Amino acid sequence: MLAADTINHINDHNCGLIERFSLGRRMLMMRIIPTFVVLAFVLTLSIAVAAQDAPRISGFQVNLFNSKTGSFSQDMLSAGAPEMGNVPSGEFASVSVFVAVQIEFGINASIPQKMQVRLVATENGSMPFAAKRAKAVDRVIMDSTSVLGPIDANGNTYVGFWLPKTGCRSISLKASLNGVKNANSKTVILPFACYE
Amino acid sequence: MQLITGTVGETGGNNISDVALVQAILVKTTRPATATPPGGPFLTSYDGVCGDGTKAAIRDFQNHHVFVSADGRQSVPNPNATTGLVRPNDPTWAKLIEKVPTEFSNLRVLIGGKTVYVAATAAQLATKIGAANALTFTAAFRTRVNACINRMHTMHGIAIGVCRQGDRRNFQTQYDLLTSGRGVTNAGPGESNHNFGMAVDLGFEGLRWLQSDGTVTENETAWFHRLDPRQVLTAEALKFWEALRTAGTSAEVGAFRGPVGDRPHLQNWNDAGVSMAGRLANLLTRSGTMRWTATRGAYSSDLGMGGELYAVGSAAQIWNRQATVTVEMLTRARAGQPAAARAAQAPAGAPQRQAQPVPPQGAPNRPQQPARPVTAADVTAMRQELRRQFELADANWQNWTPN
Repeated sequence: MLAADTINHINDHNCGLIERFSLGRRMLMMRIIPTFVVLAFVLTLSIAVAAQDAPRISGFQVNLFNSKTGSFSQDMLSAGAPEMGNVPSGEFASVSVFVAVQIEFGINASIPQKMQVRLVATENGSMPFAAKRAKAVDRVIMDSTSVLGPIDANGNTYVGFWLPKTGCRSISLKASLNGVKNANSKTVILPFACYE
Repeated sequence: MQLITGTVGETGGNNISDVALVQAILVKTTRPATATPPGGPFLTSYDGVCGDGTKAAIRDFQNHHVFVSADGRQSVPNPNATTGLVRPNDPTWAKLIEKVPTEFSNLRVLIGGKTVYVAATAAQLATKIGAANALTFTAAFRTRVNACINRMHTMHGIAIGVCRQGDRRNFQTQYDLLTSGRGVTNAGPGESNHNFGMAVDLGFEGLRWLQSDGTVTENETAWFHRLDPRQVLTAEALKFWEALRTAGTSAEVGAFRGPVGDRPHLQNWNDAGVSMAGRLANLLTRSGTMRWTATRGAYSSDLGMGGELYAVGSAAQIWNRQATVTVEMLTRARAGQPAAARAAQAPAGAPQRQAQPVPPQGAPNRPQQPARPVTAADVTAMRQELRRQFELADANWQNWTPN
């Protein structure tokens, strides 16, 4: 009996310790959890706000300039746009391109004062089907930075760039934002090709 | 589905194309929900190399679909299948075909290549043929263009199409390509088979090929800007271009290649060793009112005066109204002109609009008569007239002959 009582006592004692520990932990958790919840909420909110406010390059629009008509083609990056083959001759008669970079701020976002858009256009050195085969060396044909203009009610703005001497070689366009931390960049390929 | 040519897996022949095809099927086939771990593809990527991962994926597939009872609940031996190995038309291959989603039930790969693609449907082929039929070719060559498109589909399941401006180009378009195309062509106006509806440029726009992770490329350009982004003719892109050239120059199609590097190009005849300038000179003579010859891209004309021939420059120069005509040349041409023609001609330098008979060789000319001096305006008029002769040939393109 004694032994059994002793054991029970020990067990009770242990249970008491465990309960006290559990109680303490629960109280601690009750204090910590709300703190975490608040922190998480603040963090989520700040991320959401940051995401909403963070300007980003959201797209490109590319129009071929027709040397014979002075008009622009449709957006060559849009769905269903014609192929960009032999564009210096024929209906496009184009040897230059207008590129519009779209920047998205979000509605009611503040606009960083010193923000600029940088566009780097790299021409592919290779023209695989040309009669005159040249060594394939990529070439930066434009590296230009531009300030932003007015922004529309939806928080979008567009910056235009002019690319001369285009038409036969693929061009990689990379747009990025200067003056903004953690801003994204965006790259697109203009799939020009020429063949005899 | 294209059948593998050899064995794939443990101790297999593991030809790169066969491996790529089996891998692609395993990438697009989902493991059973009851598997451990459930779901997901049997293989996460493909590369044409049969490594341990591929062999394990084959075994995994067999354990779920080949070495199992009909209800899929018990492992059972299958005497016709070999663990870890896929043979053409064996039970493992049959199950691979059965289990791959319908959308990928007709995967293809070129022999020696490792880029797996989805075969084009009959409707996609019909669209390409329809588009080609709306373009300008000679009747005879159109037959070959269509035959080539059909053959690529029959042999490889690919619906190739005619590239933009891949059909007949008029002389102005050819001139624009020569002058603004940055070295893409050496052919001036009237010097390309394209100017006579006897050449085509074909490409692979819309080819749906599987990236290494199995994602289907939906927006491939005619010239493989997705498969070959740097446009350096990668080994994989080259396989497709070679397949096109082989199909086009096959006996069934009967077309010919053009310049070696001009891979989208096929034409109606073999122009190796033939002077395109010479053939244009022939057409010019038959189309207009002047007599022409050409050697190595340099044209000579009698300027419509029926006498000797004068060097007037390249096709591009003539088209651009910059023929190498001079006051001295016109003066000399007029002096050497048969008298009858000279008497009928006014003002100096401007040829008649009607074709003149060329005098027989040795026919005596009447004594020269005094004429007013040739002026710069006469030179300009002659340059315009030479350009007009080219325009007449352009309009008469269907009467161009290759020999």
